[in-house]
Amino acid sequence: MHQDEPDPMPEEDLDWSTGVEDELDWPVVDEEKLQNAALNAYLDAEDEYVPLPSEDGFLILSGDNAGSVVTAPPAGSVASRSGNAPPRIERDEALAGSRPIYLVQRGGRYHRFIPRVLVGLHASYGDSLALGAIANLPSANSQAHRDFFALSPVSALRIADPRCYLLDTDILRLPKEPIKARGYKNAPYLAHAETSGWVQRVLDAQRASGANLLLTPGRALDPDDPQKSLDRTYEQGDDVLSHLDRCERVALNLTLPARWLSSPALRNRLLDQIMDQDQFDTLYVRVQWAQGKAFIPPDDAELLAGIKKLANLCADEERCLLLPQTGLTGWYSLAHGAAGFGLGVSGADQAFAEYVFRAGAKGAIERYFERQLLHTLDRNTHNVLARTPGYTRCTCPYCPALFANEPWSHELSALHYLHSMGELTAKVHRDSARNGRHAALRRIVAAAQRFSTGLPLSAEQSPKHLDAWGQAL
Amino acid sequence: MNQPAVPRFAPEEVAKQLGAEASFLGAGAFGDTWKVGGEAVKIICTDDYSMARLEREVEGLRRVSSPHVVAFRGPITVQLGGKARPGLRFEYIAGGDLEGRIADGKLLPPEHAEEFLRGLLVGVQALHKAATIHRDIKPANIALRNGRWSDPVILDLGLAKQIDASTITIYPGHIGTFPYMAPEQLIGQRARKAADLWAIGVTVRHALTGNHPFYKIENKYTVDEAYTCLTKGPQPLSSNCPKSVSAILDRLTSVVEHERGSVSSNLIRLSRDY
Repeated sequence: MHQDEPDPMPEEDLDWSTGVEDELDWPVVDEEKLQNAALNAYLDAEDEYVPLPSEDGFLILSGDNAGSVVTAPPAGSVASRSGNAPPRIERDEALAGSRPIYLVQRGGRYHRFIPRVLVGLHASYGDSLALGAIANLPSANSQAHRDFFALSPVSALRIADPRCYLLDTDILRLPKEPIKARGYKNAPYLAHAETSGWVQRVLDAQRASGANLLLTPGRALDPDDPQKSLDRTYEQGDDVLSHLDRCERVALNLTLPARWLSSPALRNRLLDQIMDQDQFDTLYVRVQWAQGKAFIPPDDAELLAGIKKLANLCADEERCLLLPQTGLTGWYSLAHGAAGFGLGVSGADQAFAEYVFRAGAKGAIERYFERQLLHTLDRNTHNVLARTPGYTRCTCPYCPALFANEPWSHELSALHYLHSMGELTAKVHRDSARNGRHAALRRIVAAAQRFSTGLPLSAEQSPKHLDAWGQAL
Repeated sequence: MNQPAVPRFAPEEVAKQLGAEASFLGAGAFGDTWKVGGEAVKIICTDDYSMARLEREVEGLRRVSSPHVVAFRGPITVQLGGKARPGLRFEYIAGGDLEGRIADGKLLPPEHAEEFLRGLLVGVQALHKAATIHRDIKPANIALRNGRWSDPVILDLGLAKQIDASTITIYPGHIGTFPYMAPEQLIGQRARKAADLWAIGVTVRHALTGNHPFYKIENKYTVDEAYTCLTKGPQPLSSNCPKSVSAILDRLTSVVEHERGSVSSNLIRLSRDY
């Protein structure tokens, strides 16, 4: 997986916070001209399908039509040995919360691979997961988003995030000029925020992109003017509710600097408001925390305590809490009552981290997500780890091709990561039959902690977040 | 409700204006309540209380329908003291209120605590669903329909409270409202749904023990002193109080609003075995 450190901003039109930086960092990938043997090996594999008996159709797992649902398998394709695919579910069943919700960001460079990851997860774990796809509205036009959603037929949730928080440079740590010309073109409502009819325009933009779970605008909550900020957010939310058509669902979109969760006074104010204002049964909460290393979850005990309290409250009060852009931390939050979480391939999609400019490009680092360790390491460290007693090699659809070929494929490593996180999410559900999700996740974390003991990892490489999680669990 | 020595208007005048025999039930900060036939009529006696304002405030009451909330029959206007006074008509619940029972030593038996608590929660749930917050739940505003603990009825709805808590000394034995105020109300913050849950918690605890869970009846408290009492936590309940009830009551009397939970979640907890 390509390391997406928040280091360089080589191009002045780099759009960090829309997650399109990947696309602008490197040349546009032309699959036909790829010199990536690993990726080519994967893409050249047999077209594989799995029956979808509930709809008398077929899910295409690989090949040109990967990710789609068809009435007949393509000529020359082979049936997957995984058996039949579970029935697809719709939005309302997903939000009802019987299984964890796994949201994948469209992202930039790798978006064309997202559908095949989702359909693969559904085929293997669809009875234990509710899948969703998130498109970042300013990053592309509405037709591109519609096309993306159309290629993700197994996604019960289709979210077109308006990203209005990009306007709040005085509250959040965002890059200079977080909205570029293209962003304004794709999301013109960003140029006329808070004007008459603005809320309607934000909603219409989501509808035009094919979203089936709408979001309120989601301006950032100001910790220095908390009650006014909360009241304004809820007033806008009520305005959104008044514009809903029948059968439309909306989530209250909250964007919080981490202080809202780590400071007890602010957290209580936030939770009191959430408790009192029960007109929203679904919350979509984006938390901006300080950026450490890319792909490394925060181990801030106060922040984790705040996330836990938020998740606990939502679970107690039967609110569906979605935590987009939280990566592993979002997965951890399932233990405390979060209904779902989101991630993506890029660093920006992993975590809504504070922007920090660092001069000097470091170049690409070959990274690999170690499922057994709940941690991302560089390739060289993986090679050492793989020779460790007790190490279990990954059997996802992408790793065989990844490790059988050179050079290293960042694409396959990214897909491995997305698949692994989905698999871990499904495991939490499957193992929860015994004592609930909290116990299931605690067992997984404990197993990772045991495996990490005695490993030849430097202090910098060690999964410090596991200790923080272990204590919180 | 509080019991002043005399009503603000003579019974004969009230009966004449209402067209029926009227017996004085009691008085609150804003008006007097009379029994007229099968109804309780609350007449607003403060001069600047307009009919239009009353209409807005009672709009939510029209949507409330629960056996645990006194039935609202509609607004009226009564000529008293040379002025048109707005009033509210409710069903009359015989048997007096919970404050009187506690004063008479008729405490809530532990074996009836769960059904009593459930009834109050169901009543408040109906209010909250109608976008109404009571803000003044207390023993004086609770009656028992047919004298049954399983049928508590919340009274005295829909009136705005204009009390500036920061400037008033609290006399628990003399002012019926402040002892049941949530901490956030005491320090002047707006009362939200959580304030009703606090009040239920305090009321039920008081009904079980005969003593206010936070204040001593003989003491005077400033607002700061009262707030400190609340943060220290309530007096413990007796061991014969059902665990399901005591756990909920502990939650309801949490100083942190969201820790009290919602009415719905507490009803679910009450129905589970602890």
